[in-house]
Amino acid sequence: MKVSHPFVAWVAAALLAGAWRVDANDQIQVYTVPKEHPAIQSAQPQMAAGAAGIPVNSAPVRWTTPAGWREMPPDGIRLGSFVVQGQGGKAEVAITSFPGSVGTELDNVNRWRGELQLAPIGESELSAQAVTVDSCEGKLFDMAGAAARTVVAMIPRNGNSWFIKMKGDSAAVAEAKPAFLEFLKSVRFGADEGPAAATAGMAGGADPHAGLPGFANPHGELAAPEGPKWNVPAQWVETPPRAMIFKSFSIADDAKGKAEVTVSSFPGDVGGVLNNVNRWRGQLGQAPVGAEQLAGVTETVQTAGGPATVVDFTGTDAKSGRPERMVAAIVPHGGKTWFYKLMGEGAAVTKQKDSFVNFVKTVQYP
Amino acid sequence: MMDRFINFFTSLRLTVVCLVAALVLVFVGTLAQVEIGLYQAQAEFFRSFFVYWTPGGTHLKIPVLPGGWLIGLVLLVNLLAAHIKRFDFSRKKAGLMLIHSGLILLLGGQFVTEIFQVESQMRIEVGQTVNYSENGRDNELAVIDVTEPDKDRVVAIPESLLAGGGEIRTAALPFALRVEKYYANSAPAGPMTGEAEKIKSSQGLGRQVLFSPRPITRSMDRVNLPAALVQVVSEKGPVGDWVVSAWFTRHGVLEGLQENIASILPGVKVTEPQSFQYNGRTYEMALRPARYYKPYNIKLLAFHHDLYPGTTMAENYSSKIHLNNPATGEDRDVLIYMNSPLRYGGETYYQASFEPGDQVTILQVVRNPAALAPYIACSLVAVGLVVQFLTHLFGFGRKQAQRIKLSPSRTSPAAPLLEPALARPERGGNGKGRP
Repeated sequence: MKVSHPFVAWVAAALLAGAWRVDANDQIQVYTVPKEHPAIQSAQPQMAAGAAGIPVNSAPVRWTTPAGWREMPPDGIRLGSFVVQGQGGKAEVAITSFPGSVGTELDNVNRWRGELQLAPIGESELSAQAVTVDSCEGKLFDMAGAAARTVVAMIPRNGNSWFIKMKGDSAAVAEAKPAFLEFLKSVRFGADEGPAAATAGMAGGADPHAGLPGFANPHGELAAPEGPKWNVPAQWVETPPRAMIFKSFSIADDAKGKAEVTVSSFPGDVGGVLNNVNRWRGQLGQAPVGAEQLAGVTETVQTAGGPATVVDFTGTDAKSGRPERMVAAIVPHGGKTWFYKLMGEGAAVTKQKDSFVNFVKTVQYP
Repeated sequence: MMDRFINFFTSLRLTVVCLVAALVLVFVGTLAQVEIGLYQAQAEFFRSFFVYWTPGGTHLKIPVLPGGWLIGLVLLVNLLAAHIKRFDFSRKKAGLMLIHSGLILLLGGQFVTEIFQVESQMRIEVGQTVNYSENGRDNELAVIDVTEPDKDRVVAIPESLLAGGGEIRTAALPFALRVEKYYANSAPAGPMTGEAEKIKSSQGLGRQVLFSPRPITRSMDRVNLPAALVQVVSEKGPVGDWVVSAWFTRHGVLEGLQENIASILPGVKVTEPQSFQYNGRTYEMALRPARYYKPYNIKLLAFHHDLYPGTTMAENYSSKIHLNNPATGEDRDVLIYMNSPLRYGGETYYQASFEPGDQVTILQVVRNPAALAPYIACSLVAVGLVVQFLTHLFGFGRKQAQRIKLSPSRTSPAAPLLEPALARPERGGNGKGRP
């Protein structure tokens, strides 16, 4: 009998613990948290206060702060942030970086113009100065509104777009512009920065959409989902990774012009063939077709991954306003939909079409 | 009565029955894994007290096998009880005691791990500061009061309650939530696409982005992306309905959806919060990965993806983070890389994954209160084995020495060396058997 009490108590405690834990999974929880962005910012002043230990600009970019500029703690988006107080008012300088091209130059310029309440401009009105930042060629845009002015250096580097932007009262920006240009010269992109461009930034050609993040085992081994295997035609040159694009290749043909091949993949049917065909038609300024007309604008091609729907459209690119041709294929495979798109100048696409279709046909899926 | 109870829990038969049941469970569970996938098999067979069978066309849950937790628990109780009842501590049995303690700790530790371990992921962009991790599979319906300028009040409703359908009432919210439709897995659908069943809401994103049900995935490398149509109901009647979906909140899929939606429906941003006003307060609603908030912040300073020179083979992945804990004043940089995790605040942060572009790291966050148990248990067993072996060896040596002393005429030491061991095997306790 000597075991009875601790023994029974132990069994009861274990069962209760188990029952409580199982039950806790189904409980509604209520909690208060700092706002996500303010939370980020509110943590920063403490860090800035102890600036000795906080490498505010340790990665992935470094600079020399001009005299009179007040360095602000970086936030979730800004990698560097400064306030410039001049006699003519105040200006702010921000350093940001985003993967990919983040829209065309024109899109960005019109966005900045919009901030200054200026009307959008067309491609022909776009003007910029060349600027070199840490050996990278970029462009400097300068636009002035009624009372405010924006000067932005846009620097593409290793598949990322860097923006170093000064915006503020017109007089303050004018006053600070020489210091801003000096500041640009001091900027150094650290070795930390950039997805090694030559490697396409993915482990073993991993498909960014194949597996959701975080399914590696907890012992530090990385999930490297198998990507498809293919033979890339000789003239295609792989380009640095971009957001949401699995792989992209550029084709430059001196005689025929430029074209680009992109491969992307998403789970599910992504809205179905008709929606995607109409999406592409929309990109080239073509009217959408109905389900009954779909067969007339598509053809079915057998590929190693199953039947593919192939389209071939010519029209005016809604983004660039240039005449372009697009050959694209939709391949549903393994619960995902693969999109292959060859787009560019008509002659270049015509020349590449056979290689492209053959490429799509021979892709070996994991 | 108590004696019978104790006899039952201390019997060797129970040990054998448990071991046989475990054998059957592992066999059946492994077979079931083919059909229902690893996660489901783990949940149904091993992380449960009973394995249930539901006859077709019914909602009955008939227990047919003891689950992993029950077998483990009974084994542990059996071992503990037998140990307490039968073993008297003596120097000769110190080794056995240590071995058994190790086994008990191993079983107990595993039980604690099974029940209390939480695994989640922390996704951080370079320069971003984060104070929560997210569950890789489970979701929650977060209804957030965002009225205050500096803080949010979150009511997190587990997905399991959504799956149950019906009305969700909680004192934490001034309104009820009526789950009008719930798909455990879904895919976006357009208004013109031909799916037979779709959900569409009168408010928010669900007016343009519709969802249709998909079969539940049991694959290891895919997750279910649920969607639900939720109506907010006040005392006076419905306020409106919204479509919430993990498609809007789970990284890895929302980007693809956004790109496609942006082309089809310019101006629609799937990442924008869906909000509504009620009694002068602003609420947001999202079906998002279940979150675990931390009392500290982690900022990603840099993510490195090193390659072997001249190849595209990964050599190392590492995240340089900055840890800031306002409560303790801790403020330091940490380098997390493969096989070198950060252990902090009862959690372990492993370098687990990253997103293309090398601007986003994904850390696996494991909270396991019994993380050290297997190490201590194995050490105990190892020490116990050594002690037990040495106890026997020295005892045996002493006896041999005595024997040789008593009969000096024997010339061959080989035969007597074997005799005692064969003649008198060591038995524990009263010799009636022990687990």
